Amino acid sequence: MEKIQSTKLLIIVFLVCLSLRASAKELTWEPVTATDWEVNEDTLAEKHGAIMIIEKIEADEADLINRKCYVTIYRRIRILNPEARKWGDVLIPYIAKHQKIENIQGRTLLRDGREIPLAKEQIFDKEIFTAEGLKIKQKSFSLPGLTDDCIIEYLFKIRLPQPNGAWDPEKEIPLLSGEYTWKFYRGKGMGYWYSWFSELISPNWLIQNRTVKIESQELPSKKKTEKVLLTVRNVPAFKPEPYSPPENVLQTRAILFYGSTIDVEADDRAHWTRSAADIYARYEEFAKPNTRLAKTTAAFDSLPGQRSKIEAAYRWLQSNVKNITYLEDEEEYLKNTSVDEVLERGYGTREEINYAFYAMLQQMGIKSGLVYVVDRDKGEFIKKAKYWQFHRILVFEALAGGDPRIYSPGDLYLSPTQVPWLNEGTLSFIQTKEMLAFYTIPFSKAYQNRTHRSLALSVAEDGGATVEIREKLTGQEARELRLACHQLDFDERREALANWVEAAFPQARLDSVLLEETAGEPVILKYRLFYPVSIQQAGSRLLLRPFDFLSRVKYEFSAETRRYPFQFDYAFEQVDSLAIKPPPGWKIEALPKNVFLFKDAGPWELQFKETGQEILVSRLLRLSKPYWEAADYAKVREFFNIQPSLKELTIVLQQDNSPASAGK
Amino acid sequence: MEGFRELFIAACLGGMLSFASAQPDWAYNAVKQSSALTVPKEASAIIMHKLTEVEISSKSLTKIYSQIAVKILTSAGSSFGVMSIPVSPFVEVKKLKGWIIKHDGSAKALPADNIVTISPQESAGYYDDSHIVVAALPGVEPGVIVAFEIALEEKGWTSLFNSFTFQIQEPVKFAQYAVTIPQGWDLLKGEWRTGPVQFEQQGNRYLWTARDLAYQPEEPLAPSWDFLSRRVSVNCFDPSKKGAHHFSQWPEVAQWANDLHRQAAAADQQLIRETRSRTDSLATLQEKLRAIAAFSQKEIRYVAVEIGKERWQPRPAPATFFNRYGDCKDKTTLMRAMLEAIGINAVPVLVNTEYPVDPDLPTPFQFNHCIVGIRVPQDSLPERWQHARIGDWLLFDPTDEVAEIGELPWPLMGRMVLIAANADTVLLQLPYADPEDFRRVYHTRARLNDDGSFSADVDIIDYGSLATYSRYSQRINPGSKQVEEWRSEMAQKLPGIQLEGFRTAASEDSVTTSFSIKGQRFIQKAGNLVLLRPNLFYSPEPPRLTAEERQHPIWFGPPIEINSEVLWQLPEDWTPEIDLSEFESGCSGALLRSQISFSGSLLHYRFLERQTGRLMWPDEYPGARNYDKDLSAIKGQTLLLKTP
Repeated sequence: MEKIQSTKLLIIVFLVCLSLRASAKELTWEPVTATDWEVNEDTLAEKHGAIMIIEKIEADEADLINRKCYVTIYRRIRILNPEARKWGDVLIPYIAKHQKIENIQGRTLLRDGREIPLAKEQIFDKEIFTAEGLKIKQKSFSLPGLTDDCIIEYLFKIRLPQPNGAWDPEKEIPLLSGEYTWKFYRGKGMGYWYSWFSELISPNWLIQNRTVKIESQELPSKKKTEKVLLTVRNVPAFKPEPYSPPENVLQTRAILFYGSTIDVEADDRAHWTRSAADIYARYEEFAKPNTRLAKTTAAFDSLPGQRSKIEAAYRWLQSNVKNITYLEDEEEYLKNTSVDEVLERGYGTREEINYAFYAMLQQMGIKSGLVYVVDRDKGEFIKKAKYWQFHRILVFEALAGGDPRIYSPGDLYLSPTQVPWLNEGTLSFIQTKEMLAFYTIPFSKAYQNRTHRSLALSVAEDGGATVEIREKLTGQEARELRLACHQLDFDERREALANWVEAAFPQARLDSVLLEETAGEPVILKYRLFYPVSIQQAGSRLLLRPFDFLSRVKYEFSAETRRYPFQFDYAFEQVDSLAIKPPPGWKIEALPKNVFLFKDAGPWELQFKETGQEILVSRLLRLSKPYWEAADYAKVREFFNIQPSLKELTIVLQQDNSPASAGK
Repeated sequence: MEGFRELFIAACLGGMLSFASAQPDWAYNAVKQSSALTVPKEASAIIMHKLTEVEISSKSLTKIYSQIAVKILTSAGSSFGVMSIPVSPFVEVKKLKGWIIKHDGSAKALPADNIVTISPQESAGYYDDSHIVVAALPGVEPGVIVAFEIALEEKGWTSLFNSFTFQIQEPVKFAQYAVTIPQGWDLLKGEWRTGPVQFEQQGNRYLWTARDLAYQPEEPLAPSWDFLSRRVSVNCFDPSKKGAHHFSQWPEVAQWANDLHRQAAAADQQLIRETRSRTDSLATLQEKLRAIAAFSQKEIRYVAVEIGKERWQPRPAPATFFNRYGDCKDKTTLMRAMLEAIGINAVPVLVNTEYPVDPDLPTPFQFNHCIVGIRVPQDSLPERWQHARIGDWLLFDPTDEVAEIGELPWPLMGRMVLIAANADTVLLQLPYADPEDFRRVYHTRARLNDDGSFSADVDIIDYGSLATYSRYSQRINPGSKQVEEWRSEMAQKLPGIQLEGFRTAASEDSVTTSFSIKGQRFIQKAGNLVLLRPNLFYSPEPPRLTAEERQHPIWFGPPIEINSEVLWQLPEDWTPEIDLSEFESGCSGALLRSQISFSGSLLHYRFLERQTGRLMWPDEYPGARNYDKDLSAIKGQTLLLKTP
């Protein structure tokens, strides 16, 4: 009995020690120091009312094999004004059954030493989304006792079925000290097999330093690393700005992932060479069998000249293969497993159509390859990030001694050699069976994306005007309109076009609208509007201000300075030719001065001419490129900010007392 | 037997399939009727059939059965293919079915996968136990009819209040609302814009029916759709159980609110001590009120916990004080407790910040907000505070972040409120704002150079409640942000200007913002003529009221008064042609006045724009239209300058 008792006691002691050891490793409150209380925003140019003193994150993936990864988050925030008390309200969403939130703790500290803990009953758990097979819940709490001069801190632990993957130290408020400890998977549960597979699941981290620098340290040593410690200091607040690249491109971040040792150790090119072989093998599998391909391609192969062969193949695919990527019910279609199935069934996804195109070029012996691209509204291609990052696959035609020509018949309404604007200006990865390279896809030129409007404006004396407009659109401009009208029936199309027009003429009443589009040709949009014009009688004169619609800009810039680069969709050109007929009984006395602005952002011209009883106005606005560094902000801002002044431009009319006008 | 079995299986399968997709008769009839319709081209959909039957039992259990069929006319109408049903621990969905019926009569049923439940609120600091069941029909496009059938059950006293909206904007072919109450019970009704709706009572069944309600067009300067919608609300009660959640008069509602709040408003010793420590050193009643109001408003952050009975019942004042957070009723209760601690009587006041309260429908469900009513002698308070008084009560909203004690937030102005005191409680109307309560003065000294460039020193002075808003904005926005906002605003009217020397100053009744601006291109040169727009603070805008006819009321906006005064120093020997030295125009909703004079090289421009906040009815449209045209002309008024 005694032996059993003492054994039991030993076991109990051992378990207690084990649990103590375990809890000793859990994050606990760190001491609050006088320095913490001294934290303020006095030296900061921009005030936020709060500063994050500490963020400590521990990602424990030791149990990854059982789909249990633990992330513990600890934050301490200094509250400096009443508006910043909102930081005491915390939301933690999680996916029920797959994720779990544990051990939420929080407290508020006051200057007089009082500590107000977060009580269990102040933590709420609610379902925020429930659907078949999916339940998303949210734990939330409001820390009690906040004043506008206090310190709050909270911590919680979340269990995930997969690794956390990234650390973003940039927050809405400044961060003084950030730490991320990554305890990566080291074979627990794999036993003997880990030594076989460890080469394939090596930890890897990629640090993108932008605003601040993340330091990394391998612990306990570089030779025998068990975990990685990432640290960062004095991170300024991240403030999003309009027309910026995506946040994951702008912000400092650490990306943490598992890959093969070979990939970890290899340089970028070696990794992508190996990846290229794997990817190309996928295409080759898709490209055979190809009896139907050969038959279909034969019709183009007989055409003279490489260019005509390519364009014929391109147009054939766009006209004869239904693009199901743009359909809502894409999943109702059977999945194609080969190019021949795409051609036989007459439908395919964007990727499948591009594979088919590539296969056609190969069949015709045209030097060509595949291009892997990212969409620049989602991110960028990072060579050092050795995992698949791409959003779509395009096709290139190799040209001797020159840049490749890139095609994508799998993207609706693109002309040959036109690329979706999302991929212009991005670094891509191009490959053939024999080679691979990194290539930056150029931006399209402004003249290629042109909107040419011819407007005829008849103004009545009360300011009501009728406007007849003919718009001719090319390039990306034309494509955007075509996409807006894609697969719409007559009424829906009219509605889409009405919305398109009303965006440019918000106070107008649309009378009629018509779209003319022929494959491969510019899009023509014709419409008629009733439009109120600003008019003022000044003695025997009439002051006419009909240019309100020209003052509308797609892009507005109010901030004085800019921190981040900014980008527009694409370079563009707008050309307006406006013929204004004044009200009967009035003649032209004076016209505004012509304006010529040749700014770095692009030319901006406005010219007025009188021809008989009509005023002819021509305007050219060209944005020369879509991507700009922050240092260029002032010139681009001025380029756009001049637009509102157009509504002030005034045409001066005088009463026409001539006999000729009396007869009208 | 085998043959029979096969036949039986086939019949069952066929039956299941047809059961799954066959639409009910009422939906089928809606389809039949829709083919012969003339539809207005602006409408995005037509409500073909909308019916709600409400059956209230004596156990306060209510069954609500609804049918709706909508013909989709444009893609904007596709939103009718989504049904959102608020649910809570009191409201349960018993049945939810839907169909999409195409032109050829074929129908598809709502798949189970297309029903999700979401939380209406996901923002931080808001906790509730409500959800929304969302059902979305797939493949909704113009030409189809969408139909839903819903059965709900609502338990408890909240089910005694119900409402039905006949129409918001789209045309309605048929809509009916029926309420059946237990024998011996009474029903009170509130009807809003229900002129075209027929009402009849059949014993204990109350029936409202509407047919062929015309499309309500979107018109500029119209009130909100909440105002324009046609709706009925009802409140039912058992006369033998007055009080106890059966409300037939406003004093009963007031008593209920008072009882609910009473216990929570009791201060404990610590709260009493804390209150006295903050007020004992203050000499006047005004100062004490200010201190307690500021504490409730600024020290207690807004966090709403609306779970279970906490939807209506405030938390105990000591708990709110400890937590330093609460919602409107918690803040009100805490403030009451603190006032009581120093011997000042205060009560909760119920108000609705969104809808007008129907005085014929006494129910707590007409209110969505709670503020404080403080009983103080009339002569004990400053004259300025009288705007926030009603009878013996000084009103204060501790949830509003801007308005200080003695001021009413403008969203509450003109609203009906229920002061939850014990006796003689009636609905009262809060005073409506005067434009002078929201007054701004632009005072500018400008210099025009002969090369067209200009410079100006600008003072913007806000008075009354506008000063309160400005004060608040300055408090929460850093200086750099304020500068950016002003620069952005001025740049809309004067592109390319530089703004310098930004500063602010505040006194008890006004806030002044000052800065200097400079620009290169202010005048227009047209041939030999020079054009000057004397008012820097407006830019030319075409008139908004251009239609010949009008269906909806006209509302120019909330009460406000803006005075602009600009003194221009022109270049020597430049003279303006002034053909309109004085001009005035007005209607019951607004007025404007402008004056221009010239002497030496000084051009003196004055402009007054005043909005009364009054709603104008459609028969007043010609006057409103003329005023709007004049306003457009004067805002863009341009002077021709003669140069040497």
